[in-house]
Amino acid sequence: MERMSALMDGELEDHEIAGELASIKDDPRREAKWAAYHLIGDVLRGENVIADDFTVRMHVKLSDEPTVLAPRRWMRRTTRRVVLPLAASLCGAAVVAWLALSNNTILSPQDSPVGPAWVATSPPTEQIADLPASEVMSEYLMAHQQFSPSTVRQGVVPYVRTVSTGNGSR
Amino acid sequence: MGDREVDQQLVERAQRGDKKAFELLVAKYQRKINRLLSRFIRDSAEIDDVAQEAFIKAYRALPSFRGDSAFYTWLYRIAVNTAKNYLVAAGRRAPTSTQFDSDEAESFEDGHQLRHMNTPEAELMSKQIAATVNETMQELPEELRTAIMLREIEGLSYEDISEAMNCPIGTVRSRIFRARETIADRIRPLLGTGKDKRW
Repeated sequence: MERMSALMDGELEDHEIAGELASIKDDPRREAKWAAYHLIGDVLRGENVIADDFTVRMHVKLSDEPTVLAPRRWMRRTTRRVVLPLAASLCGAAVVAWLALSNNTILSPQDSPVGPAWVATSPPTEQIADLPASEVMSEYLMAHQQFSPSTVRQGVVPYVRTVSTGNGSR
Repeated sequence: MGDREVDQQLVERAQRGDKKAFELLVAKYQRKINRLLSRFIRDSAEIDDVAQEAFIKAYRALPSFRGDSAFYTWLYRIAVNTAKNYLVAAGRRAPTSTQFDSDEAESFEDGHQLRHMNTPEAELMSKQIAATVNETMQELPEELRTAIMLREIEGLSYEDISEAMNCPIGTVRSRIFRARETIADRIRPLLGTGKDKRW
């Protein structure tokens, strides 16, 4: 009965509640004590006592009622408080990891979705740059190299090339 | 865990078809609901009828209770609406919504009393029970009386009581239980034929 008294006060541990509640409702003596303890609390707080058999009449009325069966919630509230934030954190970490890995992965021909088409089918041949023949054209390209679209993303590299090419042309 | 969690456990059991669990809630809240209804229904027989109707409505509506508010807050709204409908049907003035705000539910602790009991005998019995509880309280050892008063009247937790009384929480739990047992034994002969007499 001491555990029931603590249960009434909300002072029982979570894992003890279910067992205690089950024992109360299965034992008429405990059920009567549950009602009496609440009655005592109400009297001490100045509630007026109902001296008739309200609970008995309610019992009869409830017996006539069809049993309610509420659909079970998919997760208890306490579980939701823990599981959902954890799942959200894991999803966030997974997205970040996926983005990081997908940017840094160097696809091998086997990994590539279009792999076979990318694989060379003939031995590599030596490719010789088709350099402009005339000295005038070469100077023209050197002068306008800074306007090339490739310079936008390469930072100082075009400048370095220009200097080195300039050294070479001397 | 607190009082609200105990109610929630009982509600969940009732939602799974356990009528006994709901009856434990009825035993817990019947006087509070009766006192609430007595604020705008004068006759105690009518109060009883409306209270029963409110509990039955609450039972039927259990599938819709999702625990977003405390069970008593939800029950309070049902009781007020049941009373309003009853008064309207009886051709009497129903309370306005501002008179009974749901925010009031949790702190509804003023001293309104039932205006009339069913019978003079019932009224006498009620007074005797209250007197016996008070007498027994005075006879309790000091430490038991203080413990149960701090719990039931002041609403302190066991932890707070243990600090106030400078004793372990286990001792507080034991003292409150012993106080309840002593009082329960004294009022037992006075109780009706209801469930609260069968121990």
